[in-house]
Amino acid sequence: MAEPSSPGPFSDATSHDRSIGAPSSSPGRSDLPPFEDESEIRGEEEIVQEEDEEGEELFGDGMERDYRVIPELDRYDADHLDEEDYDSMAPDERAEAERLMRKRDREEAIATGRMRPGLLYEESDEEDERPTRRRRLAERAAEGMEDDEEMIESIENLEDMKGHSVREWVSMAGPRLEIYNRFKNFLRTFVDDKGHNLYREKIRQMCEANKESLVIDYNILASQEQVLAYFLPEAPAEMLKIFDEAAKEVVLYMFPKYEQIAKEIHVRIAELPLVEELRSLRQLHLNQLIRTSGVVTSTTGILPQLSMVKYNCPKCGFVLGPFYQNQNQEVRPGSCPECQSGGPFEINMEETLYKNYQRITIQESPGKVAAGRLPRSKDAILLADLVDSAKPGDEIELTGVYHNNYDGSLNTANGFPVFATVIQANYITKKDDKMAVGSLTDEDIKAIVALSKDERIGERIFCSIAPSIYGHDDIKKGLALALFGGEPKNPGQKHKVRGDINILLCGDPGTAKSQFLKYVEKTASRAVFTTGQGASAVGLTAYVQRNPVSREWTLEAGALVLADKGVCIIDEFDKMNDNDRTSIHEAMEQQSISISKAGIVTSLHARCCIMAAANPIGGRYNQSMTFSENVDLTEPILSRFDILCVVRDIVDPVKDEMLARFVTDSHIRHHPSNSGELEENLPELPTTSGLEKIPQELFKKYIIYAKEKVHPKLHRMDQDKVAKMYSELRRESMATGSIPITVRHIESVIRMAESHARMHLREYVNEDDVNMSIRIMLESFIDTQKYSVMRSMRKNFARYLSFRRDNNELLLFILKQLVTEQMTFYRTRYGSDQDVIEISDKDLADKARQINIHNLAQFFESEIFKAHKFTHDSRRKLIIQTL
Amino acid sequence: MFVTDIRKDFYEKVLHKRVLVLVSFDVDAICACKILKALFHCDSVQYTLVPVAGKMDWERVFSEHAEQLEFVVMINCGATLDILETLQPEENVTFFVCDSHRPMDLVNVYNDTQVKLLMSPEESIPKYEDIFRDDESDDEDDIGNDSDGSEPNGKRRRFDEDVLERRMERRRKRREWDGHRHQLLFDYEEFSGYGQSAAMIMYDLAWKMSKDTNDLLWWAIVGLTDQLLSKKIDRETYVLEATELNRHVARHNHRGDEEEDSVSINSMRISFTSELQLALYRHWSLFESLRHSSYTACNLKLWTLKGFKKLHEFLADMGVPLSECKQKFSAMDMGLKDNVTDWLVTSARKFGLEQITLSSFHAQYGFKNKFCAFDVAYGVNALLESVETEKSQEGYFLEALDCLSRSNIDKLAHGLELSKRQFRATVNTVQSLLDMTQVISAGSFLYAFIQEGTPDTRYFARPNCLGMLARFTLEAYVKMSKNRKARTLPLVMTAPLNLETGTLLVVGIPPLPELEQSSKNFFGRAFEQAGKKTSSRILHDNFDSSVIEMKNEDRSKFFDALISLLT
Repeated sequence: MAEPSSPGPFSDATSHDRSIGAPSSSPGRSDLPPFEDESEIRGEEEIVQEEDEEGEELFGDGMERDYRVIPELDRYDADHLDEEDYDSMAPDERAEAERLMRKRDREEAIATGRMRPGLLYEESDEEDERPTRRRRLAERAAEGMEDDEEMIESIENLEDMKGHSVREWVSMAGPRLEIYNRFKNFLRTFVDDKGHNLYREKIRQMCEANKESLVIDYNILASQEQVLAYFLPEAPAEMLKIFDEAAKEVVLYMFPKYEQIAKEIHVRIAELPLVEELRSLRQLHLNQLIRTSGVVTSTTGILPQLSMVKYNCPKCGFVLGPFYQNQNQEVRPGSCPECQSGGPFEINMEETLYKNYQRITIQESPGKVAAGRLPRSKDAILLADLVDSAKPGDEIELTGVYHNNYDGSLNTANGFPVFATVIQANYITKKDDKMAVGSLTDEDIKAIVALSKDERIGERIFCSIAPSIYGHDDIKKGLALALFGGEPKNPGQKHKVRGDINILLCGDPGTAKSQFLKYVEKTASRAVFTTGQGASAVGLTAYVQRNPVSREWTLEAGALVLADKGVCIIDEFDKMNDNDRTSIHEAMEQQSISISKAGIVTSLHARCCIMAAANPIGGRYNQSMTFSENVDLTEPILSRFDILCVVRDIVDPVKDEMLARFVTDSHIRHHPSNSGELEENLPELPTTSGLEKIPQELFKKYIIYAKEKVHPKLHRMDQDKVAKMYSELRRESMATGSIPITVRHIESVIRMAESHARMHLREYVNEDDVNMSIRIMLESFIDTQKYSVMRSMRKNFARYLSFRRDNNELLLFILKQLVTEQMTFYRTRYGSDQDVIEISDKDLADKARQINIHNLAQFFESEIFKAHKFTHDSRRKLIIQTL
Repeated sequence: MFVTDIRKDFYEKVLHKRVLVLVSFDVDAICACKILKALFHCDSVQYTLVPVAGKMDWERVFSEHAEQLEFVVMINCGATLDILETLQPEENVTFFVCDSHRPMDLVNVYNDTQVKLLMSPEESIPKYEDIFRDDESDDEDDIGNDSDGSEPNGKRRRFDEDVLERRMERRRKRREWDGHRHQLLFDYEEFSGYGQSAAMIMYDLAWKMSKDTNDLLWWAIVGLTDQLLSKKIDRETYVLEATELNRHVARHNHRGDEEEDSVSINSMRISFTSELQLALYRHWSLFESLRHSSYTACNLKLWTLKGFKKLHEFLADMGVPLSECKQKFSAMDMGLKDNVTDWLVTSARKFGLEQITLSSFHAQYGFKNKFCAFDVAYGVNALLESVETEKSQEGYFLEALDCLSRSNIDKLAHGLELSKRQFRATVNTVQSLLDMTQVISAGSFLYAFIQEGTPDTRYFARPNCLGMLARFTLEAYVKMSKNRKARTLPLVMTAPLNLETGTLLVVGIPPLPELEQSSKNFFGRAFEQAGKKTSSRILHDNFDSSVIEMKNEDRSKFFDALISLLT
């Protein structure tokens, strides 16, 4: 009989039941009414008794089997447990009540036609699906279990810790098994809202890559298994151990031979909701799972740590062990079981298993330190496959267990016991690879691929660059190509050929050069922004510093090194010191930085594309001079730029008006308190008409995807075309003496063609790509010419330049030239500006014929014609522009 | 005529005589030649060995050597051509033809005096009386009469009705017979195919003379294996023949059970085991081999991202770490290496690759040299079709001939290297063909052009290698294509042969199901007809009728004709 003094739901109902020999195995489990119902039940006692007997007859002898002891099922349901305390009852009163309740349960079972108490819940409406599922799982687990394990009961209400602390509770056999089963079940059965078996997929991916880390999203775990998610941060060391084992079993179930590849599987917990600052770690967090962020300042080498130790007994040669080492202290055998000698023992080097061990120091990110305080740092231990996942300088987010360890030196220093703390890392993410392809979801990839199917994706990308800047299509093209980049090559592994595209913007002030650069900084996946004034030679490359702790010379990376595999943006390039500027020569072509200082001789990677902006000498670009005369940059550095963009601030009444409208529009549109509605109401701007801009988030992803996944090959490139263009360019360059044309420019063309192919997610470079790259190359070249040369050159290269350019745009360009001529003529002749300019359409037709355009009617009808305030008077055969 | 007793009717006749041996450029022929050479060495038979690349070569070589010789042995060449007609030999010259090409020319089959076929007769050959008429004299008489009759003399009128009727009757019969003959010949010649391997026949000869050794046996095995690899015979025939050979293997390599009785490690030992259909994996890494073997590559669709993931999954399922399977097979962890085949087979079954194993032979001599017949056949083929430029065609032939000897292991190793390059080029090309959707369906067949300019194309200027590429491409295309009909379509593939003369190599292969069962190929005749129709400049030089050379400019009209012919 139950002790009367143990009231409330915490009494062990199961064992108690069995002791009184009642046939029902699941008392107190269904929707128990509160005890207040007592009197009501008592009234029905007799009827209950009768029905009970009937029931017995109905189901015959076999019924007994249904009532066999299934301890795994004898559990409280977590959701329906009444945890409130009640007043104690008299012993007999309580016994009576219990008997009644049992009867009523059985009655209910009979009424629903079910005998198995475990199945009762499927019928009852108040129940949700989960307990049934869990019970089935438990049943399944129980069936597959070894005999000795069957003795351990699984626990339905895991969160009831029976007065133990979480840690004690978790390390007990029963709860342990339950956690093990629940987690295993979670891995096996979790289905995300799209119906994918997420973790099955993740395990498959993990196995394909031969990895041993399985990343679990904490939020998903919390939504599925609240109890596990509750226990996890409280007793992480124990829980993770159980998780690891469970994960391993699931993995081995899917890939039976995976043990040959990876001995252990580690469960990594991602997306822990609470992020603690390093500064705010307190005693409270000890032995808890925490998530923090910081910059890695130093890492040790990778050491082998004892994982499973075996000792030799030197006296009798017996091999002791294995002993499993834990993180905190060394396990040592007391005495040899063979000869009883007390040691000392030596470690058996051959049979001992080791694991990788690395210590890193993380420091608070510079941005997060409150003003006037020094950044704090903390050591973290990386084990197994986590080693070398972060290198000094990386900004990481670290999930791990906050441990304390005894440190003798601290005690002597402080004079009383204090502990050093260390974080044992569980999961590390680098901040900058957050956007890496791995994090692209399937929908993203689908969207990206769908986007690439668009025929005009090239133009759409061009116009999506810096959408809040009006015009400057050539710069946008250049930047887009540079963002996508070419394909680096390494013939024979002997020397590298650069794949990145360097770009220099040069032009009048107020032409949004810096805006462009700022835009790139925000868009590119890895960008470092410097300005010419603020950067020194070593600041750009690398500098040697004496480490304050170890007193050793260490190398600190400069901007170009930090921008490895990304973009290095240098504003005010011309303001830079000449000496400093030469230091980036190597980085720009060889893509490496060689150092020999203070006994450190090394070469660092600097595979970055450089985007620079410069002002011309005297602030304004002078058309009558060549490019190299206009800017204060030397020839070697100029030739290292693939694309030179000259931005001139030309006075063009129509264009200026449109620009002004655009800017005001933009200001209206982007006001912080502006809602989305207005945006739709405003008309689209002319240059982008017909082209839908790509949303910036998607665009970013598109770039990342293209850079990672697409590696365009030069399959059948039109070599003749490039060769011919190169020789022509070189001849022109010699004749006019502007920027020098070198072999680098052939490479540039190839790079740009590759980049253009990549933009379209094409694996092969085709004709279009080559044409486009030649066009951009030439435009960049011609822009750098003197005004006098420029026009004749434009004519020479017209067939290259007209590629992919709308006829209308071309015509507009010509028309505008005519307008300008007319205006200059009037201005010099009459000394005043005209409001209405009339041009004979015959002039235009003549010009148009030179570039093989014969029909102008379409042009006169086009939007672009009207947008520039031109009208065509067919009667007078005049084109009229009203300013 | 067919030789019934190969020893008496062939070998003993050429004994102590000078013999001209003409060998075509394929592995089977080389193996057969190697066996014959060994026999000739034993009996000190003088011989002249000349490799012949094509029909023109064949005629030239014969005319060069014709004077002094009475006996000519032809290996894998000649049977499909009317020898007497083409070569115009002297009366006393006897030809012994051992050729796996089919159909044989019927004149060769029924010539009793000069052409002896060292092959077993086949049922499909039409009967003599259906093809040739002995009453030709009668016919001629008749025709003679006719021509006489046309002359203006009065006799003719005196022929009575009876005679006329008889003649009408005879003509009708003749026409009937002609029609029947035509039909028979058409049926017989419609498809080209392959018969028993020449190396097997030669080995048979050696066996009958009790001169067979393990070496000769090994060459016969390689010859047979090559036939399978170039899909000249189907799997079933291969298995039948292989079991046949296995008897010999057992005879030669079984020396009782006792340990001390077993052969020294330095002598050659052949064993019959089941082998994975992975190209060169013993001499490559497992990963590369899986990637480049047509069976795995096509079934896992390795040219897609998904397929590549599947390959990784497959490896994970096998339990082989990536780092291990990407390094050389011979350097793999011993524990893994011993079991990897078993695991591979188990996992392969899971991934639907049931046919990954095939029984084959291994030869081992010394501790180091263990070769599988598949790999050797690949290696010899690669040597034969090497694209290195320093040697002439004959040079490659001799190289290939040499590498089969046990003393020239390094040459074989070189051959294996070349073979790897061939595989890489093949897989790359298949990938780019599929990526750029250059396999085009012309309704009744598929075609693909290998463009000139890429460095890989030089590999495909050789017929066997191009054939391999074509089979690979077809299989890959069928696996990728959503069109169910694709399975029943044959494939024609062209590759640039010689850039200076602007010629193309064209190869046609039958659709997949036929490729797997019987290698019947109708392209030989189709090419011939299409060529004739368009008067394209094509050259039927190869002994395989489905391989032709063509002028670059004629390609489009030739294909147009082919399309209209086959629809």
